Amino acid sequence: MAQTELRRGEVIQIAKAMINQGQTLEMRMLTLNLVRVLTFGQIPVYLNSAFGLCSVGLYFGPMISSPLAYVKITTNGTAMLNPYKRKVMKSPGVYRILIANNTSNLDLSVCATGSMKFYQ
Amino acid sequence: MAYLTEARLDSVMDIPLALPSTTLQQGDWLVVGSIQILSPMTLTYKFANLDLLDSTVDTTQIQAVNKIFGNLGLVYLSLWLNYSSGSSPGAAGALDVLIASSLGSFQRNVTNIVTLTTPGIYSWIVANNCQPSSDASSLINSALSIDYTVTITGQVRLDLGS
Repeated sequence: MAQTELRRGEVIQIAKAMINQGQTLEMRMLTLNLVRVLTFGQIPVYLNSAFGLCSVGLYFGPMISSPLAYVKITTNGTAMLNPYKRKVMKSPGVYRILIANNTSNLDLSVCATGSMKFYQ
Repeated sequence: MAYLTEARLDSVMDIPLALPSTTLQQGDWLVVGSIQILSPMTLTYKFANLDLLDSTVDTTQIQAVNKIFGNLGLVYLSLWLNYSSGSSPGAAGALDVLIASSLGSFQRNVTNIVTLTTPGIYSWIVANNCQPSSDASSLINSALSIDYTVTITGQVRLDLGS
């Protein structure tokens, strides 16, 4: 996802992949770049203190608080998953990549980059 | 000749760089992708395509005074190491630049391979290189915003080196 304005409390779905029995999805590369905080002079009010200002993650269900793997960021800059650790999904179902603004008072400008491998 | 083993293939990832059709206002820029590498990772950058789909002005009327950087065309895609958001992406220091000088499609020369091994954060930034001008040589009304609709398609290869 190229640089996008992510408003307070908002969640954006970046990607979705469905796998069936016998198929495998592998994710190793996911980078989150907090380019800019668009709201100035505010102390962040977190919706969930574990997820920093913003997080991007891989989700199997709709609950934004329970990702299978995620990257969070607490200040301007970049954070990434450890690409040497595999995240391998074999359970059939729908997997989503969601990016979430975890504050109730800050708008953010963010960019996410990543890739997944699909095996059949 | 090197053999492509399963372990070797497993340590290589192709990462897309993509910007769907997006309006880029004059003087503005967007980060299209960011990748952080550590030692011993290697990034290989070959392919990028920059499409200039539409403009709010007649691009043949754009003069030198309408360009922020005279050598960077109308829109450019630049690659930076450790880019900080306050600085202009057209300033000296970019590792690679793909320039669109008119409406149409511009492809990076794939034989010009950029291999990156220095640890850091690599960012691809697309920028609108136009500005209003009240100079007498400008053919475009300075009240008009020179905006472009751009699309980017590209790919970069990350080798984990493991």
